[in-house]
Amino acid sequence: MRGRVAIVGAGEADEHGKLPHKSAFALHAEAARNALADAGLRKDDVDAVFSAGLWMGSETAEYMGIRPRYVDGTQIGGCSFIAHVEHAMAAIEAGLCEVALITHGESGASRVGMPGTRFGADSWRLQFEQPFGLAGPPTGYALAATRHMHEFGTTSEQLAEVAVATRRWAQLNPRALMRDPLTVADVLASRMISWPLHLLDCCLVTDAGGAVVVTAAERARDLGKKPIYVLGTGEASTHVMISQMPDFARWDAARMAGERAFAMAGIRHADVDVAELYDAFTIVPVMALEALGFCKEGEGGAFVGSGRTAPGGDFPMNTNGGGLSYTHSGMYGMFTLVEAVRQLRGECGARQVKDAKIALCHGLGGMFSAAATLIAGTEVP
Amino acid sequence: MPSRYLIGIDLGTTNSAATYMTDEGPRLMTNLVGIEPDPARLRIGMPVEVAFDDIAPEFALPRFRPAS
Repeated sequence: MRGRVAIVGAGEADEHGKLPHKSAFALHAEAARNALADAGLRKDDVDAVFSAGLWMGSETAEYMGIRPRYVDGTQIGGCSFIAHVEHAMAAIEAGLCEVALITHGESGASRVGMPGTRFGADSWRLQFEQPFGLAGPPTGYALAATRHMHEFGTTSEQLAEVAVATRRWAQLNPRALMRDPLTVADVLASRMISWPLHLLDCCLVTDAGGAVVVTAAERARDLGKKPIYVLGTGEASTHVMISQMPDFARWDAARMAGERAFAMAGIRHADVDVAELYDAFTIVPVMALEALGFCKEGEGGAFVGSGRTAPGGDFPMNTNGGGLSYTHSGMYGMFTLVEAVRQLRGECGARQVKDAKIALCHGLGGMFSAAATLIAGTEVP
Repeated sequence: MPSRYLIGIDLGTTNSAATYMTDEGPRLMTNLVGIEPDPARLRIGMPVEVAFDDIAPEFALPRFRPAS
């Protein structure tokens, strides 16, 4: 299906940060409106709605006043929106819909219009993990980070380098929430949240929204903006509870998703000009780099420790400032898509990666539970 | 089950969340007890033994302590 569909619009909610005056649905709708305007399409052009949250996908459609003939509410965590692009591609190819609107809105900090949780007292996680102090994402990710350090000798300093390089990108992005200078020493001196993860190894918690519009490549060429072709996609899910992760030091779901995406796209790793890798915690992109094959197993720490992911390096990564410094609503994957589109269109100003032609987006779901990968390009090779 | 493997530790709170893998393969979330929650003292792979914690009349949680 390489190059058969394209992302034709990308947008975010009007503002992000701490927004106690906006509900999660309002953030969905703002982002949707902005993405459709970006695409030069009207709401009535949309015939398929994709979204993931703590509600039904159809509720998002109702809020926006859209009556879609195709709805997908696949919820596999923060990478859901990347998987939605794959699902939209399949549906468009099958002739089931024409214009797919994929939206994300989350009042992650203010919790306005947000259901309590998808993990109730009867969930596996609360029955079998929470009684032992699994207090939330930092605890789970700490288990994987600990194992990665044990097997491969990855250090806290190397993890801190991820936060530092990402902050340097954020300093080039006026919309990023965290733009103060940051050093490895600052990260290591920040409060311990769940050993070995410090506060500054953890992403932000914000209110934010984003959306993209996907349609067939032929139709995309008739619209105003340069089409961003979907060259390859993949998704996978291996577990929900972190205690059931097949191997704590290896992100199997990411490997599975990445293999399909690269095979479909028919490109080499060296062809990727810019990478947007979900960074809920500093350990996550390290394990993604290994699982996706950008470096060998166990070499992710050295990869990020080399400084090559920072501005000026040969591997531009998380160029918007990432979940660590740009924004993180709770399900960050949407923002990897939005940033990839902007980079490939050349809209990124001071943080623009020169001549970016192929971008890779990679998302995380749950507790290293799921993954989705998308390779996009300005041309179909 | 003569040996067990601690494969992750978390010291963010006063407890040590850990996962424990039996020789047979099944793995479960648990806590380490009977040892100070200090990364310098806890070892991945250390042998442990079960220490049931009766948290309520009907409920016991399987926590683990260093093997004697």
